Amino acid sequence: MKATAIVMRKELYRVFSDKKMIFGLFVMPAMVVIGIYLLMGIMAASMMQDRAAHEPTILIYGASESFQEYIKTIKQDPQQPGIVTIGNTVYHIVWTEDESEFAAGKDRIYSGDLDLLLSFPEDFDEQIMEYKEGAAAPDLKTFYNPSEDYSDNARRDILADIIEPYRQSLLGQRIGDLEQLTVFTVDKENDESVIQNDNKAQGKLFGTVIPYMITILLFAGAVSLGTDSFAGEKERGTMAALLMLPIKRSAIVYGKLFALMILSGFSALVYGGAMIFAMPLLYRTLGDMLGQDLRFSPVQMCMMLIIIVTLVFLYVALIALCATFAKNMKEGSTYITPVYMAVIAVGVMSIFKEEVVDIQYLIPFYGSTIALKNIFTFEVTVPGFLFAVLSNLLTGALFAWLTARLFQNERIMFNT
Amino acid sequence: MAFLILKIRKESRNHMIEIQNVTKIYKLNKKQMAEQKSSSSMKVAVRQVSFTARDGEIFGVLGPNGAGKTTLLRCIATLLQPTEGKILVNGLDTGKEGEQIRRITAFLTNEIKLDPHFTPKYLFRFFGRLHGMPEEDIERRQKELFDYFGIQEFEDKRMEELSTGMKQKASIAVSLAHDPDIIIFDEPTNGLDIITARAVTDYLRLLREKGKLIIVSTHIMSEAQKLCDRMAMIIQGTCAFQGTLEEALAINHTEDLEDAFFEMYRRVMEVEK
Ligand SMILES: Nc1ncnc2c1ncn2[C@@H]1O[C@H](COP(=O)(O)OP(=O)(O)O)[C@@H](O)[C@H]1O
Ligand SMILES: [Mg+2]
Repeated sequence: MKATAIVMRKELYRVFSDKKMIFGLFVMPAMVVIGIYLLMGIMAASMMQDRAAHEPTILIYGASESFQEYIKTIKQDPQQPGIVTIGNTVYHIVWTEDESEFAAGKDRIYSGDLDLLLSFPEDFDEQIMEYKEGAAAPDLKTFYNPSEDYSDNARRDILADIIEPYRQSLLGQRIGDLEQLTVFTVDKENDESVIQNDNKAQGKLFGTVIPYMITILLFAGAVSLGTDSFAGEKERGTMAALLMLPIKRSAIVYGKLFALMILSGFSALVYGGAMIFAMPLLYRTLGDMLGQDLRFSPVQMCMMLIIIVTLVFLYVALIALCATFAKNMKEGSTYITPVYMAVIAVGVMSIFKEEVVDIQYLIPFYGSTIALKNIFTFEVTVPGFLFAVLSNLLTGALFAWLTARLFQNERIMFNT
Repeated sequence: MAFLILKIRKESRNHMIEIQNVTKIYKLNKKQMAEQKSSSSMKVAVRQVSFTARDGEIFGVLGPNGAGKTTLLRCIATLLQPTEGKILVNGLDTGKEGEQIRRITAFLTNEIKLDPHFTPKYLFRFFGRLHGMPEEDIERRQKELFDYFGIQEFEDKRMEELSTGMKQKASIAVSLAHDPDIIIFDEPTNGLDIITARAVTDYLRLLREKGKLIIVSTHIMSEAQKLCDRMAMIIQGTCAFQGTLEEALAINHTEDLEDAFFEMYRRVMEVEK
C-alpha cells in the first residue's frame, strides 16, 4: 500500500514537474474546449443575425367576424392595419379563408417561416350565439413549433394577450348565462398543435456529443501517458529497476494506474471546468437558436462527473493492459490504436441509439456513452446510471488485475 | 535479545548463493527465431549450471557474448525463473521468496537505467523509500555514496543531462541505497571510461572487504583476473570450469586468464565436434 503510494507520487511528480506535459494535459484541453464553444457561439451568432430580420407572423384561418372586429377595435394600430404589438414584439397578422393556404401554413411553421397558425371552426360566432347547455363549446385550434423560440413566444403572447381577453369580452356579452363559462376552447380537439422538426429538437445532440467527445479526448490524453508509463518504461530500461525492489509487482501497477487516473481525472475536471466556463458563451446564442436551455443542472453535472471519472479508470486500465504487452512506445501505440477506434465506434453507435433497456448500461464503454447522452436528456434511469458506473468499475478492475498478472510474466517483462 | 541475535547473524557474514543444476530455456517467437537464425522455438540459454558463491569474495561469471551470463544473473536476481533446477540465496528460493531476497540484493547492469526525467537525488530517495528505509538512513547512505562517487556536483541535474559515466555512477549509487549484502553486477565496466571503470572496480573491492557477496559477469578476462577470487566459465550455456583464479591458471598451465579461457574454449569446441 505504501509502495503503491510512493510509485504513484513519482508518476505524478513526473508530469507536474514537466511544463510541456502540464500544457498538453491541462492547458491545451481547456483551450480546445473553450475554442470549440467560442466557434460554435460565433457560428450561432451569425445565424442569429440572419434571423434578426425575422418578422413574427401569425396566420389566422377562417376567423369569425367577431374576432376580426375585436382585433380591429381593440388591438390594432389604426395607422398600420395588420400589425399587432404585444410587449416589444410586433406581430404581423395575415387573414385567410383559403384552405390551401392553411395547409401550407403548417409547413411554414415546420420550417420556421411562420410562427403561429390559428384556425377557427366554421360558424364560430353562430355556435357561440346559439350555444345550448350541454353542447360542446367551439374549439379554436393553434399550430406552433415549440423548438422555435419565436413560435413558442408567439403562441404564449397571442393566447395571453388576445385570445384570453377576447374570451372575456364574449363572456361579458353573455352575462345572462352564468352557468356556462366556457365560451370556446383552445386546442381541446387538436392533437396536431405542436409542429416540431425532430432534427432541430436534436440540437440536444450538441449537448450529447460534447461530453462524449470529452471522453474520447480523455482517452487520447491517457494513451500517451499510459504508453509512456508502461511501454516507455520498458523501452528506456527503467522498469527492471522497479522490478528489483522488494515490493509486489502489483504495487507498481496500481501505483502507476492511480497516478494515471488522477492525471486523467484532473484533465477531465479541466474539460468540465472549461465547459462550464464556456457554456454561457454558447448557450446565450445557441440556446436562443435552438429554443431550449443547454445549461446542465447540478445533478446532471454530478452524474456526468461520476460516469466520466469511472470511465477514465476503465480507459486507463485498458491502456495499461495494452501498453504492457508492448516492448516500446511505438508498439504500444500500435496495440492501442485499434482499441481506440473500437471505443470510438461503440460510442458513436450509442449516440444514435434511441431506446435502451437498463441492462444495456452494463455493457462496457457502450453503457457509459448511453448514460452520458441520457443524463443530458433526463432519460437516464437510476438503475441504468448505477449499472453504467458498476460496469466501468468492474471492467476497469478486471483490466487492472490482468495488467498486474502480466507483470508476473517474464516473457512480457523481459522480451528484449 | 532477538535483536542481538539478528545483528550477530548479519555480522557473521553468512551470505551464500547456491546455483543448483539450473537450466534456463527461452521460448522464441518467430521474429526471435529469425534473428537468432534458429529453427527451434526453444533457446537453451543456460544448461545445468551449478556453483556456489560465498560472502567476502568476488565471484566472476565469465564467458563470451551470448554465453548465458546475463540470463544466469537475472535468475539469481529473481527477475527470471529457472526452467529447471533452483537457486538459493541465503537459503531462500528465488522462485518463492523473491521479495525477501530483493530486500538484501542489488542487481546492477548497464541495461537497467534510471528515469531520464529525474535527478540522482530524487531517485535515490525514491528507491530508498521503496526499500522501506527510514529518511535518516536514506540521508546518511546518500551522503556516503554520493561522496564516494562524486555525485554531489550533478545530484540536482536530470539523468538525461548527464554523461554516460555520470549516469552509471548515479545508477550504482541508487542501486546500492539499501546497503545490500549481495551485489550482482552484470558487466560492471562495460561502456565506462577508464577512470569511472576503476572507481567501480575499486568500490567492488571495498564491498568485498566489508564482507559482501559480489557476483560479477564479464567477457573481459584481464579484468576478471584482477578482480575475481573465484569464477565459473560459461561457454554456450554450460559451465566449463569453476574454482579459484589460481586453479583456473594452474590446470591450464598459464599465468594469463585469457589464455586459460581459450584453452577451455578450445576443449569445449572439440567435444562439440
Ligand atoms: N529474452 C530472451 N528471449 C530469447 N532469447 C534470449 C533472451 N535473452 C537472451 N536470449 C538468448 O540467450 C542466449 C544467452 O544470452 P545472454 O544471457 O544475454 O548472454 P550473455 O549475457 O552471456 O551475453 C543468447 O543466445 C541470447 O540470444
Ligand atoms: Mg550479457
